[in-house]
Amino acid sequence: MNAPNLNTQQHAETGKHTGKAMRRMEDTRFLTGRGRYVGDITLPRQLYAHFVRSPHAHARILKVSTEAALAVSGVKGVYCANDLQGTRDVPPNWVLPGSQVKGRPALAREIVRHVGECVAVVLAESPEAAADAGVLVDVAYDPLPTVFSASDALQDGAHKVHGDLPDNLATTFKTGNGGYDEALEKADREIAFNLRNQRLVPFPIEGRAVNADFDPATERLTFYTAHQIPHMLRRMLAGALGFPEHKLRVISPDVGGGFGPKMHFYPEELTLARLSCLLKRPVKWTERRSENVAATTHGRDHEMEVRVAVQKDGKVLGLKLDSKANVGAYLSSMGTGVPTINVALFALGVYAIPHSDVTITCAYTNTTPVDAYRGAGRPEAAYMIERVMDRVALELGLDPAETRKRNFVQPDQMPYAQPTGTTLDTGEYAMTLDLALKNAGYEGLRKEQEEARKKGRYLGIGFSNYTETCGMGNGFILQFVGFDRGGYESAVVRVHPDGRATVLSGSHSHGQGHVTTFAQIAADELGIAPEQIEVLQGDTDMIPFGIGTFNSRSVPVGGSAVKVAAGRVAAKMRRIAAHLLQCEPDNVLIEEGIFKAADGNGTVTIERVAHAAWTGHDIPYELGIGLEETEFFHPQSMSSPYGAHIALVEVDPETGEVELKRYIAVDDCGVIINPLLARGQVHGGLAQGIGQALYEDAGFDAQGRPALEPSIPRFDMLPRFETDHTVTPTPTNPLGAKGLGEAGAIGAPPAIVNAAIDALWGLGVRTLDMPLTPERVLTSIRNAANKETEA
Amino acid sequence: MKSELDIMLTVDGAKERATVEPRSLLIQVLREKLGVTGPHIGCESGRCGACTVLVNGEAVKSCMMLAAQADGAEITTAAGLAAEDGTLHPLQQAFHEHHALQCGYCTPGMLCAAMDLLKTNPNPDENDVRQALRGNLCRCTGYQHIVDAVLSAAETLGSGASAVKGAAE
Ligand code: FES
Ligand code: FES
Repeated sequence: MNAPNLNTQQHAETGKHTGKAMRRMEDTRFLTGRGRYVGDITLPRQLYAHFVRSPHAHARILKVSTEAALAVSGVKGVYCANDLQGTRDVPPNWVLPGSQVKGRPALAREIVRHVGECVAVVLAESPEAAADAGVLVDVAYDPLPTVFSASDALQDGAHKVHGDLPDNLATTFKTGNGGYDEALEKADREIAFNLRNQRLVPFPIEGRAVNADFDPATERLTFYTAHQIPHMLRRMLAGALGFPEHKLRVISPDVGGGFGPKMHFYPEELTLARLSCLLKRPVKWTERRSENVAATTHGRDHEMEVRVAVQKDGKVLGLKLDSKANVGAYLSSMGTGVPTINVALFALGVYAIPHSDVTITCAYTNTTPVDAYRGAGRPEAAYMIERVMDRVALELGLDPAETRKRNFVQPDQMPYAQPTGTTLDTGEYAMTLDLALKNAGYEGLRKEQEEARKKGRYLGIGFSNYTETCGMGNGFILQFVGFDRGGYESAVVRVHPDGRATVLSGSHSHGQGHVTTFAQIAADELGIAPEQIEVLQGDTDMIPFGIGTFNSRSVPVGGSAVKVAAGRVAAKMRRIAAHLLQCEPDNVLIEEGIFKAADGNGTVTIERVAHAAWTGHDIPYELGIGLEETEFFHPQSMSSPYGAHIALVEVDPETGEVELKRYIAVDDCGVIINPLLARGQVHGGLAQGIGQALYEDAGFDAQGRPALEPSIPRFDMLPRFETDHTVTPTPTNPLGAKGLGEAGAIGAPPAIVNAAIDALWGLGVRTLDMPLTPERVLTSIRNAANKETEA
Repeated sequence: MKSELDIMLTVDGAKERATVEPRSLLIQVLREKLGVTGPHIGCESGRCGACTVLVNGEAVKSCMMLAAQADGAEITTAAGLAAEDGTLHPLQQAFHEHHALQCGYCTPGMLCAAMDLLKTNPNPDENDVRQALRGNLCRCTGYQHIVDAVLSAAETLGSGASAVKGAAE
């Protein structure tokens, strides 16, 4: 096989190193089994934790009996809520103004509100002893009535999740410019339907893991955790513990996949930090899969009713969305932010729709807390608006691609302020869609579909022109939506006396490959090879305050910070080189570590420049010592990547099986730093998006227990992906890069469901819910047939 | 009282002794007693493949094998695939070339499962790879780059090449 074909002709040429498919510098340690994850770290005098969790979705705790557990050899103690005096509840970090806030208790007090909630924790000298004792902790419960779905929780007289909240209401959010009824008057018809964005289990292959190590000598707490945002965790953990933040060190080493849930602050983290401080010993916990599916945050879970007012040419005049979002039993970190702001603002997608009314109601239920999962709200919005577009086309007998083009926001309208509150910075939606149509061979596909239909085979073609907004900033805006985080990213770039460089970055890789992409960015500025640059992350003692990895922000914000800091170091190196070469700084060129005077008068090496800078022996005094710059890159606004995805499916109407035959993705994330890694990000997102469309579901049973084995896609459950890019650079950062990490997860679900509906439209099927299991598809076909007979 | 057993293993070429409980899983003994942290735990129930190692050359989910059952066996992990001088095995090299890993957590197990495949089927096609590796989950890559890497390694190794270093003897 040849080297991967990267379709690079679409990528802007960006620099000597950026824009190239450089292979990852971090690979070797993972390939040789030398990755270092939290679970691999064991400390002297290590204690091991085992959590005792509620098997009930809602119950009063009557008694916790610990005698038998304490008798197990090697057990150090069994701890309940009472033992954690002075510990606050785990607070959410993004609270939409007006929310009713119920944080997660470190250990349950009196009442448990979801299956998997922590009731007690056993600490022992070995993991086996902790687990053996864990099953001997006897908790007596009095079960209470339960409520599991948002729509049930919001009914009058629903069982209460929190005794002091009469209506289970966490928050309500409204946006849009109104006027739906007006739009309806002008419209030729109204199309209305319901959608479900089912609850998902994020399922990183590495579960969460913690090793909390309080050192009584220094009175410092070193906290190893598999985390996406070490600095935010430090701030929140310090607050909840009442521990001095400057003596708390969070280390997030290699992380085995994040996808959202590893950016939150969890009860287990708080409990173990407290116990390490109390016992003055390190305490380690690695999450089991059964804990991961029940206690780590879930994603999505919206029940939506959508209505659109349309003209018969397919132009959408108005949209009204009512969504009920399930936040679970407590507010996790971004509990009321993700389901409201991240959905409602994007409800109009890439379309210019004159009138909109969007309402989102968030309800508490007796389920695992719901929070950000790859896409975090934007998949819910894209799923809705993209389902709408195909539905409009099918109802009106129009082509779905053409229908979209009639509704797109046009390039000359950019930047475009959507009346729901987001701004689309750039986008040439028709161009990107045309490339997808070309790559798919759209006309041929439609013919194939027609031919197949004659032979009794049901092919369907579905579209999705998703957008998202990512690269989170600016802090000033975040405060208005109750998001208690900064909107910047940090970078330190340091050139050492030997001419090699270190980059410290406040974002944190859990597979994205920052070690390589950030080195590529710095290399272009510094004029040295990426291999001469080491990128370090994930240690709050070493790295300036950072905002971390989520919202596809690492390259646009974190990468921009690296570029700016490295650019300043390079400028200083040029001035020193100019001094040494006796020429003007503007006339100094740098290439592969050699500075040259533009007029060809002599050269000086980076080592010499760096030596001069760090010794101060021969530099202009006013330049100051050293080659080190810190940048907190704080974007004014966010960027809006987008894409055009096309799915081809075949549905077997006898078995209900949906086969995904082709998946064509054209994404536009602006300038691409490393096309190979970008493609990896697209693939990973697509796998999760296809998983949602076809297979995955948190799968609660009647007792509120999530499925132990959610159907995560395996090798044989996914097709080859056909990916490509268009490049519309964003003006919101100096790289021109938009984020990409979430694109596939956002784009894929509507494309696939639209394709399945397209296949079955002739059989009378008008809607399908995810995941498209054979049973569900068969039921829809049968219901459609029954309706036909009745009619 | 629990009776303990003494076992002997060869792990990536090094002879190791361990005292284990009869119920101890091979993965626990490798990770906790011997400090061999290449194989990872993703489920402890045979569903994810993160713990896959080669036991006498055959891919085994080490969370599904008792350590006592492995007494006397030759275990190869991802750490044992590279040559002594650190040169990556062609399969590892292909993973690198094709960007077949992101977070790296599934990777050591994935490599061992793929080694087994290449030994039993040195000329797999895409479908063979997807079927043979279906017991190993990866949540990051979407699998396509892994498939490409395995196919490319098969080509490099050439048909009939001994794919498993150190485990064939
Ligand atoms: S840990 Fe062994 S198969 Fe998952
Ligand atoms: S690379 Fe992360 S699970 Fe496979």
